[in-house]
Amino acid sequence: MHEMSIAMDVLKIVEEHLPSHGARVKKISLKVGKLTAVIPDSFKFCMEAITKDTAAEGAEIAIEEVPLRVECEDCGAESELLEPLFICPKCESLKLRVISGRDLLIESIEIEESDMEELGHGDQGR
Amino acid sequence: MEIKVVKKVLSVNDAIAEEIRRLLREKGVFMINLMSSPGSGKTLILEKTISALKKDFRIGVIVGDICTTRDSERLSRTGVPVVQINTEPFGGDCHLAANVIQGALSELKLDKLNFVIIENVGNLVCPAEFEVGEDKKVVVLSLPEGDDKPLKYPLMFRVANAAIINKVDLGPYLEVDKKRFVRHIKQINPEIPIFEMSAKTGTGFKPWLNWLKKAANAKI
Repeated sequence: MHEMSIAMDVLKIVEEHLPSHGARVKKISLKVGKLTAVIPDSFKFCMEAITKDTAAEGAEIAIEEVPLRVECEDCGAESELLEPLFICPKCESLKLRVISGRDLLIESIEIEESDMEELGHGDQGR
Repeated sequence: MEIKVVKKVLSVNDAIAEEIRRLLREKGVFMINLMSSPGSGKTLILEKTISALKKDFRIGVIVGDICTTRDSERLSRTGVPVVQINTEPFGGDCHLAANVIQGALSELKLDKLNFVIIENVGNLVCPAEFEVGEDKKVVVLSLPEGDDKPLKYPLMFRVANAAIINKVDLGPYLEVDKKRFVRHIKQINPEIPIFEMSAKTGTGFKPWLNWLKKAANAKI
């Protein structure tokens, strides 16, 4: 369950990027490569658990899966591998370089607009 | 409002791994990260590896387990310093992250060492994702686990620099095809050196030791 420690890292990064105290997170967009050991469903479950009572509680977790793409060092072809079998589909060479699929990125976060308005109108009284 | 972040989730871990790498380079210390499923024979491999290499290298060991100190007790008997990490108090983590290794290295008195072995938590999934500043990653599998394991845990076999197939002495009692085992590993990582051995009987142990010595000497 390393998804839990990854979720903790995600929450930390999200909190660092909040524009202001009290801002609420509506959505967290991530890119997760095929060749990572992250299972989207368990990751989402961990995010739900860990964001309780934080600015990101209830936020939508949007995961874009990044395909495993390789470049052949022999024939130069770029291909997508649907299975983790590292054989060039064009020339059957085994010398492949991974171009994408190892990604584990936070792309963006979306903040609830109402919070922004509220903050924009300045409620110093509180 | 959307805020662009574009940040690697593991960037904090990777930055610490890089710090460790720098520290080890500075001190001339070689470090391997040994990963496997539970019960593959990792600890016996280490006991025998340490006994064979301790006259040539100043070895220290970091042992990760979710619970118990059994492995570190076994390894302490080899006479080298051992730091045990139990991940359980921190939530039962299934892997050793770079910050944990950094803490363990500071306990090991690096000035007196030139060779550190990490025995990672038994798990073929999670440790593969976390860089810890090691020079080589080694994955251990044992014959009874079945020849389909490399295909089920591709990331581990892709990131590993060497693979050990242990318990080959059990071959006659099992319906496991060793050739398929090797072929499946090579499908994921064609260049990887594979050591077929039995840590118990000593069969095939020499090539592993030679590879390890060569890798260490290239750095120290």
